[in-house]
Amino acid sequence: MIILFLLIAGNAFFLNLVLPWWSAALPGLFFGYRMNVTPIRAFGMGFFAVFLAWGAHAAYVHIASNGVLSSRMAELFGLTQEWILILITAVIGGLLSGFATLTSSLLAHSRNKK
Amino acid sequence: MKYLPFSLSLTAGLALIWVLSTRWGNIPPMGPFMDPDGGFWAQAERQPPSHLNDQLLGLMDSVQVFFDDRRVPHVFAQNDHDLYFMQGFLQARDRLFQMEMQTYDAAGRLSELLGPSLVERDRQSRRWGMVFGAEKAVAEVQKHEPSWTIFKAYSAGVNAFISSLEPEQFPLEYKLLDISPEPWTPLKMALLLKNMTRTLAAGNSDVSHSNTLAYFGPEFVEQFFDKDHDLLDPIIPASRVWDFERVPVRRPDTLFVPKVAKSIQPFPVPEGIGSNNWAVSGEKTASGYPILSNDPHLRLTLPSIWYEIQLHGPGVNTYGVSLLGAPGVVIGFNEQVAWGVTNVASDVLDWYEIRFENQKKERYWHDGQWKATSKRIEEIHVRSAETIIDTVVYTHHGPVSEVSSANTDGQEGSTRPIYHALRWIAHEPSNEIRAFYQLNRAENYDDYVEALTHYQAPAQNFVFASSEGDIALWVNGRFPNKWDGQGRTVSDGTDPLYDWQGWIPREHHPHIKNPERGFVSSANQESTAPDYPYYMDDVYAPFERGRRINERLSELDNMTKDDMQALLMDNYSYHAAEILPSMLSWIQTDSLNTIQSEVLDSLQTWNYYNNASYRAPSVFRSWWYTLYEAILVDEYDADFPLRTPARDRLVQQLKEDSNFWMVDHRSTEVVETIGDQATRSFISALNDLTEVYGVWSDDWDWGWVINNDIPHLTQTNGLGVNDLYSSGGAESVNATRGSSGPSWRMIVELGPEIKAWGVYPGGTSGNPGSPNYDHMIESWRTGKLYELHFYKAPPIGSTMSSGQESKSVVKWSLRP
Repeated sequence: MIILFLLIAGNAFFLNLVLPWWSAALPGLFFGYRMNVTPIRAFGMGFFAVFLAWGAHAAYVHIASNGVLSSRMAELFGLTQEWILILITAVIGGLLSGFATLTSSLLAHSRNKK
Repeated sequence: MKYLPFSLSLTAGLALIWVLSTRWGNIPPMGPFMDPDGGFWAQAERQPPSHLNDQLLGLMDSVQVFFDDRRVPHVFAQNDHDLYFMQGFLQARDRLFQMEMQTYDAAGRLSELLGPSLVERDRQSRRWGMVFGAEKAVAEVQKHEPSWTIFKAYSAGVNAFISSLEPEQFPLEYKLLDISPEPWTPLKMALLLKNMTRTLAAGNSDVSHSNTLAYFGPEFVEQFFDKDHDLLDPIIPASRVWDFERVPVRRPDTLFVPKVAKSIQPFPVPEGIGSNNWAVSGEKTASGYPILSNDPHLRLTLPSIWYEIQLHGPGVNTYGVSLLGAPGVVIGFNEQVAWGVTNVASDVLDWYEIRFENQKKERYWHDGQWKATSKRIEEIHVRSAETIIDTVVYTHHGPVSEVSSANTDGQEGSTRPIYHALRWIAHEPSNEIRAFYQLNRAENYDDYVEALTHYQAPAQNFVFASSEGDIALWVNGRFPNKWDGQGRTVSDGTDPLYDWQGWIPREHHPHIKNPERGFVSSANQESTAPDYPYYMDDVYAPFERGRRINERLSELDNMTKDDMQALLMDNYSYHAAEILPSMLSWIQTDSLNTIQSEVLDSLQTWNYYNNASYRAPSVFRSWWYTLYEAILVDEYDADFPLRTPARDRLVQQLKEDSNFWMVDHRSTEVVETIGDQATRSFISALNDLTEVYGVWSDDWDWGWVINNDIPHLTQTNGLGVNDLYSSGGAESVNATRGSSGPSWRMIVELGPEIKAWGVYPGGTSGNPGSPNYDHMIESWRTGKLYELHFYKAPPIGSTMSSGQESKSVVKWSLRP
């Protein structure tokens, strides 16, 4: 299970370096089909894997750039704390992957019911 | 049924993707925008720039670029093409969004990017014939082969950068607005220059002056608009003898009275446009060589309007600031000479009342006959709305605007539209870039004068100094030869005597070389004393900055860069020194309470310097504005635009006759004296200040009250810098005030080794995610200057390299 989790997270991270933002959904679609878990767990795994990948990526950028841009963006969006931006980034990635993983695991379920 | 959960989940997922890829109001599409690799995070600069050794397609030969410790690029190219190709490439790399915004604005295309809220501005740009003027300029540039070459090279450089971009690399603003860059063209460069003309030479008060003349009468006009202030010290010293006969013009016997009363919005010239420059001859400097200084005052934005650069190539080595979207250096120096500019408020924009044959507007009456118009169809594309088609009619004067006609020829109810044609210098073919191309290469006074012949608009006071020891100033541009007062009011579009009948010959332009007093200067005040034979205009800056500069330069000897720096940051308010003692003598102190008296005491001891840590400037300014309004409010209570007297003229009037007729408030029974008005306005001013800044305390410091913010070009929150605690004022040499002021401060010491210093409120990079976006603001705020690295040879990899300096220098080696 932990392997699948890491595969989703790792693939999401690397795919995003070469593909646009929606690539966050691809690992979930691929690995979710091979996941034999309840829908809630499928969604949770997909969500947290990319939540972690995108969140860590954004946090790294924030720290490495001394928060110069993230503080400006936080002000732009009316946020008081820069980490909320990191959280939003992580949640967006997480949701994409969560629904992708859920969708493909449900497809696997439905087919197995045959 | 068994696929239902799957279908629901799939639908939810797809809906999520749709929501995240859509722009909601001003919220960018959150999916791509928040993507940690390709979204806004990609613009967060993580590494300092590094050396580069690479190919750059489009170059003709190898090029080296050195970025110094402030990331100012120093370009070393082996031909003109590569030099300007690189300037285009580098400016695009650092400031692409700004370049595009400026030209979209000039072309009346902002609503394409920003939606319906900008339609009116776009419509005005079109009706003012901005593109029409730019197209003429391009045709003119094409006639001069070297200019056309650099236009094309510069464009190719910009496009080389744009085409290298993947969407993830688009500058932040593109992601915020969800737009993409479009290819650059020479027309855009012409548009940029027209935009400068609109910023600096579109001020006009034709309509309000017509109204003022009709409403208050000619005596009032003479009293407040014709006479100069006694302390006015013109740019060209009054001692200058004009030893020529003016070229005559024919004038009408009586002045035309236009139909307008209510009318077209005059172009809003933002306050704070004005500038200083001066050059001091070697006789008055410690080094024995001239020193030149310039600080153009403009609206302050991030990124800054200026881009610092050094351009080194065959026959040229120049350093200074350039405009984004135009090749060459605009204000700067080379190995022999230095130059700078301030704006000339000459009247180069006039409105003509047009009589059309009928509503088809195909013919108009002029010089005793019907003449044909031409039409230009303007398509204003609007983001997420329908395209707007606007037909603009052109006469020989220029494009026609329809004037709102609620109150026209006196007949209530019958509202016939009135049409005004615009005659404007921006529609004349011109090639200003050629002037800068030659100035950048000028070796002496004669080269400078020849370069200026190619410069037309916006007219500038070009100050000059050379290592040969010459100093000079030309009031330079193309000026229509007008009869006295021509175009001050709305003109008669049917009568050829109101047409621009020719131009002031170049050799008659106000200018001076090596004057006896040992310096030349300008601060947007009147160009000449009244004995200059031509009429140029009556709307110049008040006398204050110009007089202060001239007094300081007369007093000082053995001047150094430090003296110039002190003068650039001089906060003395001639305005306060002139009027405050009178205001203090008028006030009725027995009507004041304890706190009010305490505040009054602080004014008694004030030295008239607009320093950030003083509270007196805050009180004085608020008091003066309140008093000014109290005096004018009833007379100016009209529902049509009127011209208000300039600050210094009203001051002089009050000093001469403090109870002159406007002081009384006509609607009250009693006759107010200046004492009543001064006391009342003082109390009211303090109440206003208390409302905003609380009780009398450090919060009243001028540094805060000056309200100095530097916003982003698009006014987006978070991308600007707010509440800069600053000294300065509109009437001080250091003309810093709320969001406008010195946009570039420069001092150049001429001599065998040219030395120069400068600063602007911003940074090289236009990327809000870069530490170089705003890193010079603090130095600018506190009046510090950076020494400019002016390399005669490449600083690294050459025998001329100077050891320590080269450490922080980043080198790009580029080959075709």
